[in-house]
Amino acid sequence: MHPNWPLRWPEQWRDPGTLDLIKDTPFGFLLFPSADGYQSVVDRARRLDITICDINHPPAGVELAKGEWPGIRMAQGQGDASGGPTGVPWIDSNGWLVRLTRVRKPGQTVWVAADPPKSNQIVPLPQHQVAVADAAAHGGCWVVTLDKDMAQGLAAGKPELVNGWHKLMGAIGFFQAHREWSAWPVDAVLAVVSSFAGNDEFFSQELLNLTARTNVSYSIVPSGGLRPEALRGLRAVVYPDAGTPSAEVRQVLLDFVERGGLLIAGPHWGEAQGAPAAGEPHPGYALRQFGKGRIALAHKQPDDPYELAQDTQILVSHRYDLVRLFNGSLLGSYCTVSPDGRRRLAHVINYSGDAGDDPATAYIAGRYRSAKLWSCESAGPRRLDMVVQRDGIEVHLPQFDVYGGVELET
Amino acid sequence: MRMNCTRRQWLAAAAGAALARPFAARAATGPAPRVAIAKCPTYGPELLPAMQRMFDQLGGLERLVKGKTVAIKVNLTGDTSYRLGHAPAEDTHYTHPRVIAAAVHLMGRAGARRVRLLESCWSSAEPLAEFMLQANWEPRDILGAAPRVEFENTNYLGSGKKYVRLATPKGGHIFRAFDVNHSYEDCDVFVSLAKMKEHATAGVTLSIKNCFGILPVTIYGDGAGIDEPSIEPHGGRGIMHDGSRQPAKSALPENDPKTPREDTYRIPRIVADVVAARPVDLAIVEAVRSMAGGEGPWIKPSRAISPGVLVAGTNCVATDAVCMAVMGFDPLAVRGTAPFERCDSTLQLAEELGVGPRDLQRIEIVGTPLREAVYRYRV
Repeated sequence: MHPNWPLRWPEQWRDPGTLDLIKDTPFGFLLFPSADGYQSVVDRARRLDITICDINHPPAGVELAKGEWPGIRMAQGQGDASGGPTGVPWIDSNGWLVRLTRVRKPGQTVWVAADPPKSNQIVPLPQHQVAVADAAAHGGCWVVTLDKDMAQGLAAGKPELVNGWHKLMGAIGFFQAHREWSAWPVDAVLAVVSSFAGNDEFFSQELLNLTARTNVSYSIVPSGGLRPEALRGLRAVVYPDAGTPSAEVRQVLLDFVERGGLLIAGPHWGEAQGAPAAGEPHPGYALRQFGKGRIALAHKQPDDPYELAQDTQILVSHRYDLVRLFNGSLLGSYCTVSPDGRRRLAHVINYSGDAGDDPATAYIAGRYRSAKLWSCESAGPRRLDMVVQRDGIEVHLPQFDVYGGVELET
Repeated sequence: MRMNCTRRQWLAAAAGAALARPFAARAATGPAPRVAIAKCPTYGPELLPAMQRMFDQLGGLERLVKGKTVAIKVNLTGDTSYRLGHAPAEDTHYTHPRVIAAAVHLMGRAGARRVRLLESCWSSAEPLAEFMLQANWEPRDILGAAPRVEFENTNYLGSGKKYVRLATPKGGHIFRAFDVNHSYEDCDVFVSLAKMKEHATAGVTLSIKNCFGILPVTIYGDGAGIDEPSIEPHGGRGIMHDGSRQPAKSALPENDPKTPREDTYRIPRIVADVVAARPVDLAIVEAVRSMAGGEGPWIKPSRAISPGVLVAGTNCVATDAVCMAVMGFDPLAVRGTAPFERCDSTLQLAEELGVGPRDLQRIEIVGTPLREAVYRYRV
């Protein structure tokens, strides 16, 4: 396996001998804040054919995204996970950011990095693994960043840290071995169509983040150069931008509705096409039938991306959920399909980094011939028994700390 | 009172006494409410006839629902994603959808003009059908079980224009009235369709405790408005548990805010007040499959069980009393004795409000003999 993973070089590692710690690991890029004080390390690294980069200037072909430490957000000084607006633990993920960056910079490799831990902060090993899995499942690379305690402990050869280091290398190696998965397109029911820039940047990007938490599987479609092909096979489009869409965008979206899709938009959409639609109304929206589809126009321009994500989920309907996770409040999923359409892969990330006590169950829409679970914690896939449901299957997931990929064969 | 026997011995004696009472002479205070028991080992083909038989033993559904609007409060407690192990929620802590569909079907067959399914879905304003879909249920199975079936999420105003006020007879233990979704008033027949379970705060959750979910969290929940009900429901009913604040001021406050702020004191009383304010016309409690140890998978330790039993009656206190006996508990148990080790008896408190009797001597049990239906929840 060609080493291609990025490591932010720990400032505590000044001795060139510390390069032995990354010998035979997936790391192929070392990121330095500057060359000052690291010259002997840099010289030896170059002799070992390791690429040296400035943390702020990634190499050609790489797009660096500024993310955050993924995981379950904990309230300071408390052992319990803090609750978000839904009362369930709040998950931080870079998945949406990796995906948006890939859409905006096609062909580029996406690295995602967060600020280094503060000098007194200890990052538990599982959180490193979660960060790796979160980025890799969405097609990116997490820039591995060690805290001071781990960097010093590794340099000193502390057995428990060396053991943890090997586990982390195992997780990275797992995703390197399955690099082809990153080319699998998202299996979506919804498209978020936006400029993702200017006045709409914050709202639309936060909508991506929060829609991912609702478990609605979506594709990211920039409104610039929007073409009908981008919406093929989808059930719904949400257009969150505050501005009036261009004539071209408007036409593509109306064509989508006429063919049977659902468009969710705000009052800036402008004139409402069609006639009032039958069915259960949503208190915040006027539903109109247009062609074979419907338009849900919000009475007021959405100003809370959380509410729009929730409304979108209801308007699209859980009937079209691709994945449902039970005992999954600490889990996130991202559903992809192989380019030939024969395999579906539901990436399941355990953001707690701990298998916990309650085993999870995954409902996955569709019919399949076989199911297996890939995990970065075990060698090789494990066959899963499928419990057939009306419109899908359930698989009982073995407990895993960080990552399980449910691969289904049609 | 000091117990001079082991807990196990006491439980055995209490259950034995409970079993013996129905065959003793009944108290001569008014007609005894009738409660039907049916064994039903699965949710398969035997379910519908078993329920039909119970309703017939109670005098027939037609007499109760023909030409009427029937509101059925089901028990879908907690978020849909919770499971006890891998078991679907309906096999442990939710009223099973086949029991719901069977009840709806029988109501329709008995001539109900309209059947409305009610539940205050946890922390959500989403339609009840959407909530069901998340549990892997098919809401069309229920909607199609009879003509004119509707769903309403009663966690907030819903399809109503305003909340309705239901007064508690005798002034209530905690609340003298509740403001609730219109559906609890806009009905001729109110049915509590519950799961037979223990409860961490109330000892048991049966047809009475099921009605706690009547209270909209927009008024009685942690996210309730201060002056007016909140528009959207958020969170649970923590303030009903701990009494940390009063409901939205648009509703009537507690009778006495100086009463203990302990959930084991408050919840049984509030629940008794609710069923006094919104009388239950038909109580149905199912335990074909259920769980022991608590009301949901979040209570640990708990385990999945298969009692294979259904209970129904036209008086909710009497029905719950029979359920307690089925579970191996003494319906006359009071605070400090199982299953009310930590809390007051909801049945006792409801009885004090005149809702119904909990003494098996004052209840007529029909169908499967009680002793054949007993399934001890505590081993």
